[in-house]
Amino acid sequence: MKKIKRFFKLLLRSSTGTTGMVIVLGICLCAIFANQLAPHNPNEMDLMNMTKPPFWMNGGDLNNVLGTDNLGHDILSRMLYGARISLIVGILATLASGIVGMVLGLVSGYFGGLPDGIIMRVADAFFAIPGILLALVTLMVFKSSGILTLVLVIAAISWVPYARLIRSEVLRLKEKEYVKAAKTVGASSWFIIFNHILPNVWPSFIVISTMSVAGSILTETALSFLGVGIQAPLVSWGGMLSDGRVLLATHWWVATFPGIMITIAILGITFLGNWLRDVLDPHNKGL
Amino acid sequence: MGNYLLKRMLQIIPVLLILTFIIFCLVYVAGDPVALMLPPEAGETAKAALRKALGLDKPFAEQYLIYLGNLLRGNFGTSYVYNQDALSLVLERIPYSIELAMVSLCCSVVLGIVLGVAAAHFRNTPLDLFVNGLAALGQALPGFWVAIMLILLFAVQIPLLPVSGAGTWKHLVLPSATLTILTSSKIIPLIRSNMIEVMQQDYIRTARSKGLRSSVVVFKHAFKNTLVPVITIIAMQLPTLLGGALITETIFAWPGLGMLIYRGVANLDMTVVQAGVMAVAVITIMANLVSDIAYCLIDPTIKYQ
Amino acid sequence: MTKKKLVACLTAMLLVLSCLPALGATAESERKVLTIAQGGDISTFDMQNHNNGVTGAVLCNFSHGLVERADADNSWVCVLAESYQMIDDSTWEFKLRHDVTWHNGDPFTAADVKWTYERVAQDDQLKENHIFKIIKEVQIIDDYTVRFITDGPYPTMLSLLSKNGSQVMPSKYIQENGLDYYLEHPIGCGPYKFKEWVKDSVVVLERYDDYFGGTPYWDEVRFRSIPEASTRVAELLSGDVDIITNVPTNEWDRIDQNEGTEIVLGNGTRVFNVIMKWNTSPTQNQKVREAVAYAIDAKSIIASVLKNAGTPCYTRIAPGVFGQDTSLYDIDKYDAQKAKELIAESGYNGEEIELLVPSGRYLMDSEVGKIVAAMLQQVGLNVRVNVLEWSAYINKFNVGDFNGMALIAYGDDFFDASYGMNEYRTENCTPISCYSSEAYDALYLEALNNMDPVSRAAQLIQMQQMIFVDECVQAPFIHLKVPYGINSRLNFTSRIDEMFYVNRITLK
Repeated sequence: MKKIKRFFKLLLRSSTGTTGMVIVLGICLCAIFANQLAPHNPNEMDLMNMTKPPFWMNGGDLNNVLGTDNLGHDILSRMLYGARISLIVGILATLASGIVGMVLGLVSGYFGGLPDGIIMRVADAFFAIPGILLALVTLMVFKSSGILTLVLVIAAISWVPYARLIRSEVLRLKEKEYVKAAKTVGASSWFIIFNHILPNVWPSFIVISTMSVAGSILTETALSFLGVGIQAPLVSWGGMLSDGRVLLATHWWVATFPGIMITIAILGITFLGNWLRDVLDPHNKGL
Repeated sequence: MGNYLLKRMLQIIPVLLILTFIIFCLVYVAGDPVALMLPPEAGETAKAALRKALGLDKPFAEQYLIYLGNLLRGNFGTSYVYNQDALSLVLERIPYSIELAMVSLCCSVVLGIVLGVAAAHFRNTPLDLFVNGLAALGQALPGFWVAIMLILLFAVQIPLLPVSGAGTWKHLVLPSATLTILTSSKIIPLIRSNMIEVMQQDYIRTARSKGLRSSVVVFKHAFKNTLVPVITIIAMQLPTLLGGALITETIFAWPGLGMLIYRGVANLDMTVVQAGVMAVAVITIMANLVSDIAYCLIDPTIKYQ
Repeated sequence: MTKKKLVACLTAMLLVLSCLPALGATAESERKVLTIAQGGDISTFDMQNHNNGVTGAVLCNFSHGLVERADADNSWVCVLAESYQMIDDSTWEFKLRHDVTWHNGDPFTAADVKWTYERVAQDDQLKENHIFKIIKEVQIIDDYTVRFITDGPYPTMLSLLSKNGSQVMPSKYIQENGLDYYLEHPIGCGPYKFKEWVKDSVVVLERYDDYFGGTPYWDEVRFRSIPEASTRVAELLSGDVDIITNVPTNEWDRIDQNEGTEIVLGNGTRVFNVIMKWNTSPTQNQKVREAVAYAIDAKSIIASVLKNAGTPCYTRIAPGVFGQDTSLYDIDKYDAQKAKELIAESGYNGEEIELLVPSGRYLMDSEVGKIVAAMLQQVGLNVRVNVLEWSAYINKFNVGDFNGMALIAYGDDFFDASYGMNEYRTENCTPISCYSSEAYDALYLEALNNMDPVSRAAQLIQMQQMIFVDECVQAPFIHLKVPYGINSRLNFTSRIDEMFYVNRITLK
């Protein structure tokens, strides 16, 4: 209880941190309570009311507060449901790449030698390929489009910074007194990793995870723009952007509102991440 | 240091090898291009014959070795869409990609340094907040939105610049502006935090206590040492600018590598895809090597694992 | 040099330099340049190996066929041929013009005709081979007379020789230099010769002064490749491009209201069609398929998302194609009640049907697909829509990797119903659809060799009735118009084959 109180006190001191937390919580609430909050079914088509403008413009009304898209779907409802998919993809992809990166970074940093060499060379090879191209090729080649595939693909292109960061943290921690002491006493490598290294690596991990969620959301957006992201009937912000991109010059609201939503979400996550980094891990220069 | 450099250069070989393996796996899984190469009316015998001629009926390992052998001889295969050697297609497009990437990179670095240093110097003032906000915004904006907005503003509403295509310096302005906005917003926070950290070092405080003017301190001492990780940062942006800029290239009809690879993927023209991805990856790996060498030369005290 | 003199020199230099662009501009503005932007790049200069409309629209200005179709009414016009006559059911004789030259000065002769058409008839790796292989031999009677010998009676010879992909190639030039050299330095016999090809950017053709049809109208023609629709529209509005294709419906008002540009809705041959799997449940049940045909409210789709750029059409054969069944055109077949009854009678058990839909290829394709899925759901079919970007879609479609139905809009550049109706023969069974009927096969063969146009047309109509009314193998529903955005300074007549014969596009 005390810890939580202290956490909130620290948070409230930083205006950007608070803003970030508020935004992130807001989006999570939208995602969780989309059913209750959304005025319409997000997949309900209304051919009589296609590309209706938002209510404050000529031709709009309060039935569709933010207007409708090219098939008459209500944009506000789709944005609320879209939060779900975008968050799920972002969080799952981050978890997946985080676990992979963490394991590889730990092994690489602690054991060094050949495993380190191999893992780091594989990382170099992966990192040299532009992420979006790798994702695009993989998705087109595998011809599938479900959430799971998308999560795995985004994870596959995001694990390298994790692995590299964790590795450099482990290298730093390896030199610490208590680790060396544990070694001389005869503790096994995995014991040391779990009890001494891992707890101290968490702060970096949390920070980079937060940023990674933002990155995954943006990647999903780009992939949906290219037509290989989330498919109908699932709604995602990236998908909405893609639907609205042809309409940008004539019916700007279809793409702009989800775009603003994405921007706010990313900003919020970034602010929160920055604050977490300042608090938990001041050594981290950021990647 | 010579030892380190040698080691570093030798490390490239396994990286390139792993790269060819990754790319080959993707091509292999992409499966049978024969169905796309021949019209749908062609019979099964024709398709089987073509498969045999292309060596597609051999086992995985054998195909990989043949592929590797071809690569070493510079043979990336033929594009079935263009009926042209894949490598020559890629080489045709590299100058366009490099032109766009270099211009965008230079502008991003200049902008990044100017704003990053300013934000660090005037830390925690409204200027700092403003720059941070801009950088965060730039990272959060979807790339295609920036591109289309620029077109609407500076090519349609105010007919100042051409909308799309390649040819004159004017055609370069909007696409590189788009990429600069997206890239510099990543560079600014990094330079800023580097500067802050450097400026807190002891030797800076010493310089200040000696009575040297603030600007002298900033530029002569702190800045030079900030440059070092900046080189790494720049090298990290290369894959995105060369190959990952395909959305920008598509919107501006800029005939770069990104668009070539995208079309290749769309047509399952895998020879083009693997030649293109290879090209981008190799350029990136070389750039990383160069930046590491530069890093080493500037600061020999760095100990590398 | 003194400072003053230096300044004076520099100023003089600057003045001269600043005049140069103006000089260039005056020279430029007297040249007639036409710029057309399509959504993709051409794929090759090999006339018989592309099989796509974007390439054809460029190459038809670069080279010619023996006969071509007129702009206004799609009738046959002699171009490289002076005259033709049918000697017997499987022999056609063409007399060639004497005054045609290739862009390098070589004369066009019968040898070029023989080389071009025997090559495509015999090389089964060429994309046009499957339709040209009906040609058994091309006989050279003399330098300017050829005879085509077909494998059996062939009533559609002129359609074959006038389609996209039938242009002649320079035999002497290719035999001397090799095909690869030709592909990099192509020559043709059309009004515009090759200047430059920057891949995925622009194909530049320039005026060929010795063109047999007189001095070509334009000095230079630029065919640009701009994949992004909003960029194409921006280019049209800014005046840098004269004609754009594939204009999304939401931009039509903006283009019409802009001074200097307008939308032209031309005719085409594409018909939206729901393909249904013939031998998997539940689409193997004829009543389910018939229900699909009745469930789609074509008129409301046309009035809403298509902005009236379409006509209800219940055969895949469009107007302008020989042998179209006009009784299936511009009628209202929508009857949701009947569809529901049919489904009840069919014994459909609610199993899920997939509707595979492309995106970004045809006018409003993904929107129409989603609406069709909703309409089918309303009559009780459990339809799940799967929208894929075009290349992912076509890869799945070609191998039949969809569970039930797919939306497509076939085109027809042959302009004879026998081309489209060919799919339903037993021998053309593919994983996509596999209809099989002895009666249909027999009727098709009869029509294939029937040299009398009147009775052949009747046979083609009967075939459409069998496929689209009796058996409801597929459910075509909307014939699409083709939207072009043009600069109002042009006199432009759209063609039903969507080609651009730029020599006949002139300034007002």
